[in-house]
Amino acid sequence: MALNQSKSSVFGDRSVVLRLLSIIKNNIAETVLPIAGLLVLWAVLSMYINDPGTLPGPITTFEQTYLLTTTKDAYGLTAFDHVGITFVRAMVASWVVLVLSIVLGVLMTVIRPIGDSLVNLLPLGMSIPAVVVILLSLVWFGFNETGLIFAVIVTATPYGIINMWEGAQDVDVGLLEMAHTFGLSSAAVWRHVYIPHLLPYLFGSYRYILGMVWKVTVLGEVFGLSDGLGAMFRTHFQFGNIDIVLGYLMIFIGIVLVIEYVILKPLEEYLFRWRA
Amino acid sequence: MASNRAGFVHAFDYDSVFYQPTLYTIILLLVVWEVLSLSFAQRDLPSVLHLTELTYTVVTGASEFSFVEHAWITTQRILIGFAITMLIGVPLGILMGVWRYSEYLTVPVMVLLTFPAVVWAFIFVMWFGVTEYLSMVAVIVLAVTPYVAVNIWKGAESIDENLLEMGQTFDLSTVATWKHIVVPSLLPFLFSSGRLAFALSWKLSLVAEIFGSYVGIGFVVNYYFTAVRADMILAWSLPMMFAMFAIERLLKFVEERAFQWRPNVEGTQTNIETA
Repeated sequence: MALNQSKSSVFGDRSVVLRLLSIIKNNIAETVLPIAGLLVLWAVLSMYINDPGTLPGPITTFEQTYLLTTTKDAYGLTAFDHVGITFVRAMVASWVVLVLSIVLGVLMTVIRPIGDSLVNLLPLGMSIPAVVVILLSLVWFGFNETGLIFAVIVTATPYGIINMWEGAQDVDVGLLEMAHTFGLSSAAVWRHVYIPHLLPYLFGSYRYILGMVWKVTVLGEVFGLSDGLGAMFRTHFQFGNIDIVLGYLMIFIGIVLVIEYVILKPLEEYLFRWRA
Repeated sequence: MASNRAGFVHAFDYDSVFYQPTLYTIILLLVVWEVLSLSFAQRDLPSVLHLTELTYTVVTGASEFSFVEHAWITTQRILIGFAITMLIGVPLGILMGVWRYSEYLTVPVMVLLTFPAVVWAFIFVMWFGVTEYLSMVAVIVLAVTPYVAVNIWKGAESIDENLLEMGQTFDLSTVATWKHIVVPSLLPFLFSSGRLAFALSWKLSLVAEIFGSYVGIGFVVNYYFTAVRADMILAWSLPMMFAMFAIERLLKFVEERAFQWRPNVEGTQTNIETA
């Protein structure tokens, strides 16, 4: 099976690290240069506006980021602690969403009435704004993590299911026909056709789910909690500290970019190099 | 007896008129909602009937706030934001598609896409204060434009090279190339990104209104949030939600009719929905 093969090669191959490093290096040229360009643009803009209370420059902002990550705030937490709190919440929610998406996505493919009904209903679920779900969930469950995670799961699951289901729809019909011709059992079809086909989708879906879950988690923290990145955004928005808001924003963007470009993208390229 | 049985079995065929899985699922969901509502207070989880009544009073203007007034201002913000977003996003996407160094734009666009919309709302409210349109429209434009640009970019990259080459061989003028090759290839992407932009605009305007305005659906919903009234949050958001859903489905229907001749458009970023 594809998963076992790629797993065993990950642990068996000594040049894995080198390979991953080279993929990272290739991404750097297209990553570092544009980011440097953005920073220069920002610096010029902030010098032109010339009011740190309106638009602090990149240096002021990164100084602020440094201060936030090294000193403790009123709760005795550094920025890293807040990031960690948000990260754990996002992880828990994203794994629940992933499992729900896989189960329902597979059920939609296997049991036709479920597929036919959800295909019409999921778009309705997707048109519910996350804010409304968050506010309702906080009223129902109180201002705690349960309320937050419930809201994130309700918001993100329809997108995850649709994503998995679309993946299953894309399966090579020729392969399915061949399996049928040779009288393969449906368990064998799943094992040799669907699962190898779906694994890269699973990876893609998780990236997609995580991207969404992050944002909804932060939005939920803005409304309901006293720790985590979202709560910090709200607190310093209320005090009008734009430099601290931007300082936290840099941390948020930095983490998302690291997860995307240093961890997930090279890993995906490496794991699925056997696919065209 | 035998014929009865055959008819009974027939009712479960996929082409039978009784095969309405969507309808049954909706009924099931409503029943589950109703049963759940029995064990909670009406103001926390209203029963289906009570919620319908409540929504009706809200829409007819019998509650504290005038629904027409607030919905109208929200609609205006959505439409203005949507229009500006498309006006900026579409040319930007085309530019990214035809420009040689466009791979260097991937990361800046990614960075913009990672911004949580609520941070845009905070930044603009800190800059402009509480405004009638400016903060809301600015949030929509900055948060949605990258999505539109990326979609159109994918569309521009998917234009058939062979067609362009053929056009060149036959000395097609630039105007004719755009009219007969570029625009027809881009239209499906234009449609799908328009739908996405519209759906996103509505969600983002809610977030922006909570922090940046004293009028609009978002403001009212937040008012009832602070009053801990789940039933009123539902009653105020349901009508707009169904309206937006209907518009979205209508656009999708028109889109499917218009592009029946084309194979499905692959790789459109359907909905990395945010707010």
